[in-house]
Amino acid sequence: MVFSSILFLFLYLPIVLAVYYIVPVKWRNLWLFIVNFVFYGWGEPVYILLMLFSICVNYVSGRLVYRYRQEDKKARRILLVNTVVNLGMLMFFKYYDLFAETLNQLPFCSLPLLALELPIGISFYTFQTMSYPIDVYRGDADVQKNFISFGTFVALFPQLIAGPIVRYKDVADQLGFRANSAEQFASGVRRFAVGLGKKVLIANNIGALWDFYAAKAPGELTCLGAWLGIIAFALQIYFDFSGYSDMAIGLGRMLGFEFKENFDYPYLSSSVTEFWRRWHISLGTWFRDYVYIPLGGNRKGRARQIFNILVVWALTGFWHGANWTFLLWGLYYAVFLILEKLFLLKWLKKAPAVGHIYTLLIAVCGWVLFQLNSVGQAFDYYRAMFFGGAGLFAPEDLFNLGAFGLILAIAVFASMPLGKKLFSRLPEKLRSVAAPVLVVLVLVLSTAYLVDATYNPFLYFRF
Amino acid sequence: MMKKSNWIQIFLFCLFLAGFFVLNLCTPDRDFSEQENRYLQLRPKFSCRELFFGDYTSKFETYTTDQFPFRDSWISLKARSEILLGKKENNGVYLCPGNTLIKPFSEPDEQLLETNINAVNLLTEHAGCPVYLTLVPGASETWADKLPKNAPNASQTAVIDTVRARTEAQYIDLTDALAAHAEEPIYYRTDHHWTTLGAYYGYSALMQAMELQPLPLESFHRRIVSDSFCGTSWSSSGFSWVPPEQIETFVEETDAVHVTNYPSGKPVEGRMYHDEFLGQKDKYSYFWGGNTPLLQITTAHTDAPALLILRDSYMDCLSPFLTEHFSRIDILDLRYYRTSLQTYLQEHDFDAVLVCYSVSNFCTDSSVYLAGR
Repeated sequence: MVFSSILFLFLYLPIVLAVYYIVPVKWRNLWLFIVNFVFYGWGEPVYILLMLFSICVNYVSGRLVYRYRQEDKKARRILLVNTVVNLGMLMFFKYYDLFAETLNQLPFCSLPLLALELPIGISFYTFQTMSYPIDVYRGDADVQKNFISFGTFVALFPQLIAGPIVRYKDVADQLGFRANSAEQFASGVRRFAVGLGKKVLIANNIGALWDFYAAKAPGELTCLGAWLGIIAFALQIYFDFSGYSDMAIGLGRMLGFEFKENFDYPYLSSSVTEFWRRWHISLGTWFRDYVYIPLGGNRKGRARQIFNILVVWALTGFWHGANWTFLLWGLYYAVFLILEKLFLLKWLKKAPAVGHIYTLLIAVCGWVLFQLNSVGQAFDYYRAMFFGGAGLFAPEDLFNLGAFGLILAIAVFASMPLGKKLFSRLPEKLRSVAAPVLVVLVLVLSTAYLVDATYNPFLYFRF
Repeated sequence: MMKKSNWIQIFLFCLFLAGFFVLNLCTPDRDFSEQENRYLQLRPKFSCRELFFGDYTSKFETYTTDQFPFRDSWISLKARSEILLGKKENNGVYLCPGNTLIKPFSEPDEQLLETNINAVNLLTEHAGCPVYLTLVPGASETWADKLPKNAPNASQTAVIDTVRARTEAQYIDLTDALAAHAEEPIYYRTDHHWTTLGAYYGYSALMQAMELQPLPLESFHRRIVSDSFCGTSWSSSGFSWVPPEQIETFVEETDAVHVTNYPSGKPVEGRMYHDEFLGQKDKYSYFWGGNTPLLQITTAHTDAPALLILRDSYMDCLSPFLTEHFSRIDILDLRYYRTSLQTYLQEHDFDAVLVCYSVSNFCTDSSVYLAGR
């Protein structure tokens, strides 16, 4: 199930919220535990078993690590086994076909392809659960002895399928006790409306422009068309992804949870380093805490640091999908991050405007590699962007510019904190009136777009 | 944020969700949408088998959107908001001046076009009588100037030129005949078909090419049979505020014309005009009762030639004109006719075959290959 659907908004959510607030507080986790599985199993009920398996393994590992916390060797061995099981599951379900296909190109090698349906959100929840026993081992988190509470955490529907990656230690206290206040619920409502609007009204709308150009044969793409297309995608994925995070945070608040922020106006960054501190923050911190720092981070010399960056970014890229292009996409960022570490960042700091343009250019060009299915396709696209392809522009590009001009302008405006700043400058009285009006406006318009849902993609089915 | 405002936000949010939740339960399900001209998803039957191995969940999801309360109004709201955003189209239909709705033409599939041209060529070889081919250009070609400036719209004339160059049948051009009357209402504003007036100009051009004398426009008694027609473009566009339009007939139905219809293989008596469709959404089916595999029409002009037509729905409002010029007209639809065309040709004695499709259907229809079988 996805948030941006009639089914979720007008059937699932009302029931979940109503029962949640009617039942006694001590049953709330159990209720969430149950409805999480309805949410998760909606598309592919069989994978509920996989999720249950994942919960059990990590629950047991957590307890064992805690029991053997004085015997370092044993605890480490448990962690190793747990990590292998978790990653093995992810590898098998997500990457098996890619590996098999790649190996099959060798002589005498013919592995069967399985064409497994990727269990939705597996990359998100594997990371969430896997880090929990590690946190217990490090003493960063207490052990969770209540199976239902742990299961509720793993399968918590707001952040289950598209992040943010919530770490156990960040919500451990809230699993035991959640204070609810009207203020928190209302801020959840506002946040959810912002996210829904971002996804349904902006991302879906602008995504149609990208689809128009992505469907073109390489010879047909003009320079203006190629740029329009990829800028549309850059905005689509930002509004889609951050919209999901906003909805997750909003829903979390309605249920009494506080999740950490996942996006912080990434397109404002004036360096690639800054961009990745503002884009999908929970993924970046996860890799920092569980890969980069354990590898030695920047404490073991320049050469080792460069190596570490390469490893982390190859993995980060590859996390986004089972295709070698994602690995390349990660390494593409590693190159710029390393250059910035070595000398570029110092220069960019002197000229933030230049840094901003440079960062946008790199992000936009990166999306080509990210979203197209092969390096060949990506290079055809780059050729159109930089060498004109089928000419500078075609009449249809001008038409698209007119038809999508307003929504592009709205999207660019909304990707900056300007609107938020202006709103907070308004007198409190006005804000108090405007907020409910805006919430209802977004709900009504989004419903209209969802009822006539000709285009409502879920972009993270590959994550 | 003021405390009261918080409570108002919570109240409105919950009211909106819960309100439609309750309305959803209370409102009866519809099985057909007049506005969209399609069947809606009804509540799927639950079974464990369907849940685990079937498509229960996706059907259920379609069910929730299809049966959402006030569905038609939501669709119109979305269409309005798209126009406000500066879009000139919704769901692939352009809103053009004069409340005209036009679906643009997209680049044809070269391979399918080739197959279809070859099929007509094969038919020309073995038909044993002259074969005429004509393609009707749609509104997006003849009225291309009504489309928003620079709107993506492939050329139908290019397709016609390709077909003319490669066909071995006698090609009859309608492009000029229609373009000469582009200022008149030759296409429906809300539907992809041509109007009866448009079909009249098509008929004149056909007759002249076949060396027959078309009847002059003034000789017909034009009758408005409906003024509440909302066509297929209207249905898919969501522009529900676009007003309905008229359907006209030119040719009177007389007892001299006898129609046999084969809706499911067995002959039943047919009629030229079916009033019962005028009360329904699909008013265009007023002509001959809509799509059918085979119509056999005999007229009082027994010494006139016999004609076989391979049709799509553009033929429906044109064929009444032909009853003045032929003794017998058989209208066969390859999309539904499932027996061999060649056998049919051998069993009957036709003086000519006319293959008449809209450009758009000729480029997309995958049953035209049966013409060569």
